[in-house]
Amino acid sequence: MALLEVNGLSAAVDGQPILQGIDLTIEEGSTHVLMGPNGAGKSTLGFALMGNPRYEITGGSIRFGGEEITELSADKRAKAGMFLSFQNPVEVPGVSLSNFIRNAEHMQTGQPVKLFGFQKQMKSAMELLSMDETYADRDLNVGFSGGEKKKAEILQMLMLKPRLAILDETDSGLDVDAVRTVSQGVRAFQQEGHGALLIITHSTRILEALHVDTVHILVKGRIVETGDAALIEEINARGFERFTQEA
Amino acid sequence: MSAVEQMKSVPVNRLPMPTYRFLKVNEAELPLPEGAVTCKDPLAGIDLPEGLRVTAGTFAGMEEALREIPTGMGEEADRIFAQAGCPASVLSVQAGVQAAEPVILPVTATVGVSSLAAVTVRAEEDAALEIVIDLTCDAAGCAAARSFFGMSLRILAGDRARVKLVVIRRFGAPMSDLIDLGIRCGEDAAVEYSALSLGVRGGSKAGAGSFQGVLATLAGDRSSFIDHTGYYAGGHGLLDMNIIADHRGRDTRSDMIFRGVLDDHAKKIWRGTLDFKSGAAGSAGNEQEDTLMLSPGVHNSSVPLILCGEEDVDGRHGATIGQLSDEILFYMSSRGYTAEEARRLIVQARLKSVAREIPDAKLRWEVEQWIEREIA
Amino acid sequence: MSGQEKQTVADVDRTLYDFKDDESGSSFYRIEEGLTRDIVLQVSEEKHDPDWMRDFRLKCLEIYQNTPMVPWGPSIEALDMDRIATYVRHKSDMKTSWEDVPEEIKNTFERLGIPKAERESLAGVGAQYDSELVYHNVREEVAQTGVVYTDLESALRGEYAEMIRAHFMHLVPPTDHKFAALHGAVWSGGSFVYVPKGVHVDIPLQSYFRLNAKGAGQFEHTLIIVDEGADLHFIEGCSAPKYNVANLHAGCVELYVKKGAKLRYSTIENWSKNMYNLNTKRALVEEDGIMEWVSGSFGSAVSYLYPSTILKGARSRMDYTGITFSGEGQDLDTGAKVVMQGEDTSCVISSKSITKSGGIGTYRSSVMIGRTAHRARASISCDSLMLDSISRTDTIPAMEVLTDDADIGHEARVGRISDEAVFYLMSRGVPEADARAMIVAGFADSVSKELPLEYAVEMNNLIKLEMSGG
Repeated sequence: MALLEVNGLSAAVDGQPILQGIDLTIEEGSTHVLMGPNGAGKSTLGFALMGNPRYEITGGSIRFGGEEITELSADKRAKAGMFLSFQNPVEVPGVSLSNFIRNAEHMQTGQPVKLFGFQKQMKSAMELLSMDETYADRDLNVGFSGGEKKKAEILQMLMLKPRLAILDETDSGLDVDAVRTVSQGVRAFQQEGHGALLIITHSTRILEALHVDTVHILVKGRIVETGDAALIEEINARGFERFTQEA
Repeated sequence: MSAVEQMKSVPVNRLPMPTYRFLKVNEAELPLPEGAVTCKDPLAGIDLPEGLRVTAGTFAGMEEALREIPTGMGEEADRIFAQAGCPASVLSVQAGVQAAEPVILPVTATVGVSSLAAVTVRAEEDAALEIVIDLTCDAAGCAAARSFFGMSLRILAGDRARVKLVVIRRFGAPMSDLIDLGIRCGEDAAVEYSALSLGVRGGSKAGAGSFQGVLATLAGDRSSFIDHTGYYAGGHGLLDMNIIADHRGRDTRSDMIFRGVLDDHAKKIWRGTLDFKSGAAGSAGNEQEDTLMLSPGVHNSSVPLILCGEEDVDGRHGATIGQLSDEILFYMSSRGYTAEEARRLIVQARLKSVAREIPDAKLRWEVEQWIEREIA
Repeated sequence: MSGQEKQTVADVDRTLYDFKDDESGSSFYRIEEGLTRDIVLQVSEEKHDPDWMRDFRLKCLEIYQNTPMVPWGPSIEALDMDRIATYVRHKSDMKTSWEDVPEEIKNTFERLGIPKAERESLAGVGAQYDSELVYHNVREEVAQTGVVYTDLESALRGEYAEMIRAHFMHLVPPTDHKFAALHGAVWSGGSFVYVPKGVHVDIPLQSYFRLNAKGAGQFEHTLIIVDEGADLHFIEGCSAPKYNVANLHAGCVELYVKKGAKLRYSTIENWSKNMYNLNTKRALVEEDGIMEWVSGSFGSAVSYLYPSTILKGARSRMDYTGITFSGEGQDLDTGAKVVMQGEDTSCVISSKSITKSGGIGTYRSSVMIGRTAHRARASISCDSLMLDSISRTDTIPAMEVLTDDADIGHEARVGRISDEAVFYLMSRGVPEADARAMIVAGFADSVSKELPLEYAVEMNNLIKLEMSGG
């Protein structure tokens, strides 16, 4: 049984249709990449999968781990094992990064989180992401640079260990070193966490050091092509022109 | 009996420049304590770190230098303390002394009794002090009708002195109270003020509530004032504030952040003023207000003034008033928080971010526990 | 940058407006100065009021006498009502042909460019000289759509008499404040506009007010009803020559924006610096209606001016864009008021203020969001630019919110021309004086771009920024 099954998913924002009949299947532990030009609806797909109430589902269904989740609220999807890394993470003053993660872990598992083990894990994950330890006690995303915000998102993914992580443009706006660091974090998630990934991106930099199983091309709200990692090479060389013309 | 004592209320928290009357924000009516008034002296019999001393005195006989520090609530508030014959001891920090540890003054309001307390702080040149005033009710709580509590505070910061004052107001039940603060800064003096107003629940009685005023006179060149206020008001509570940064010296700075939560039928009036006097060249002031409204019955009034008689200044104000944003709620729910949990975490976080300013670990922990227990 | 070399921005050049016409001749009728029951009755008689209007005037006088002055705002102590003539008119009737307007009045308006503006870009024009309209005309093709644009007096007696009675001073009751009561007692002149359902008037209508008489008051009343789905842009311009005694302007503007209608009301106010401008403007907006205010305040000694809007209907909207320039001897207190009642209503207030040469500029506003205004949104921004340290600028906004699902953002800033901006422009070869002028013009740009071209040009002339080298 596939981990994620999306059938004929259509979605609209403020009455404007964006996604038009998306079919997508992701197996446990596999890595999918969703690429496409600006405005194709990539982020909308990420938000629709995670259940952002601003995105109205106008057709189709989403199944996760065999359960129908199309109507579930985002927190229930998170508890079921979904994770979305935001392109623009929200600032939450007064809540420290570590407390936020620890609380989230507690709520997702329903179990008390042992402080010692938690701190040890945080420390090693932050080391992997070259994050200064002081960030753990800083208010969530408040005053973080663009790069630190993205790292904090990957840190949450590593700590919360979802079954499926959707990364929305996690490489955008990052310099070369930061992309490499984030990419390391994602690789650790592939290898240690055995979670599945849906990496949404319009560039290919973050993918260089990652194993990719399947690539989807999204144009004007439709998946116009699905293939293996070789598609990445083609886009690197020729861009999206072939797909946009066909669409 | 004086005229004031015969009156039921006095006008306080005057807006420095009045505006349309229909808004009813030009001043507040402070209900006066009825019956006998008890005075407390928070500085009596406390242990002090080296270099600090307490001089006993009375409010009415307060020495000139201190009396000339205006407060946010205005002269009418002073009159209440003077007429009750309250003591006003002065806590002095000698020149050059950096107090080794914070001075913590617990003040307990007594049930069914009107009580007043006044503390004045004089930090001499190059001195540094941290002081915490912890306002609570006695064991039975302060639910009794007609409980009234007043606190008058003055800080005189000499040249290059640094004073940090934290006031924690955690009354668990409805009562009327006033917290009135006046600050005067010499050259290069820096005063930091953190106020945590918890448990403003108020009764149904009109006019009851918490009245708070702050006036920082930045007289010395390069002096600065930071105000970091957090509050929670619920029930039928009324929170009435008047905060003024009076920039007089050159290159003075003020930075004021107000973050609050209004619930149930609570009403809040916030007056915040940046006043740049002619001659305050090179000065900058900033006031930011962020109000979270949790219930359809709340009433929020915000009156942010920038008064300016000097060209070479930078004055800014920003306000955000509304509910928790959909973005924050969705972000938190994508990490597994339900709407209810997200709301509680954020409300408590606003208050804890001010509690963080408490320089004493034990008290800080106690206050954080209080927030988690009382504000859900 | 050294302070000694600081450039100065000149005051608004007002010579264009400062010519005056002699009114001592016998062609003018002037009521005696002061305010008594007899004077009010005299005005009423002059104007051939219907009975209800005469009674209304007397009631207003009583309210005026019993209402105290406002306890806030600029001082108006120098204004002595006993020395103000409330009614002055030329002894000729209103004309609908420009050729028939008396020569001396025609000259005044010709010099202000009024008939030219009409020929070129207006759907209709009204011109008031002192207390009465001297000219009123509306384009034939506009009149054919059913649009009514006439003086209020004839409307009071014509087929719209009932409509006027049902609306006149209902939005601004005489009890509102002292000068609203005064207006009700001695009002004279002004326009009535009715735009029928669904009619879009593509080019603006304009009224121009000229107060020429020394020591006189102007109390015109403007009543505009834009019916469902209709659309109108109305422009008013005001000017007066300068005298050494106080003049008073206490006009009243009542605007009704019905369901789905849109009204833009633009004002370029350039009264002389002996004028007390105590004007009241208010709009009531129904469902899906849009009210837009564009306001440029340059003249007068003292102004109290806060166009106010009641957003009554769901989804109704208000936009206010205003600029105030206070120079020497001026104390201008301006801003906006809005009361939001309907669900999903929204307002945007954007205010700019420039002060110099000892002028005082105050931005004052109130935004009230009522319990019923669910999901109301308000965005307020005010910027003040001080050009020297002998001037003063105060920002006094207030927001009252009674519903938890409203969303309010407010930003205010007070400061001077940034040295960095001046340096940036100078580094590109712009001399300092020009750099400062460019920055001030850019600061005012958000208002001038909301005006029709010829008014934007007038405004830019008003901010005639003559720079003198250091």
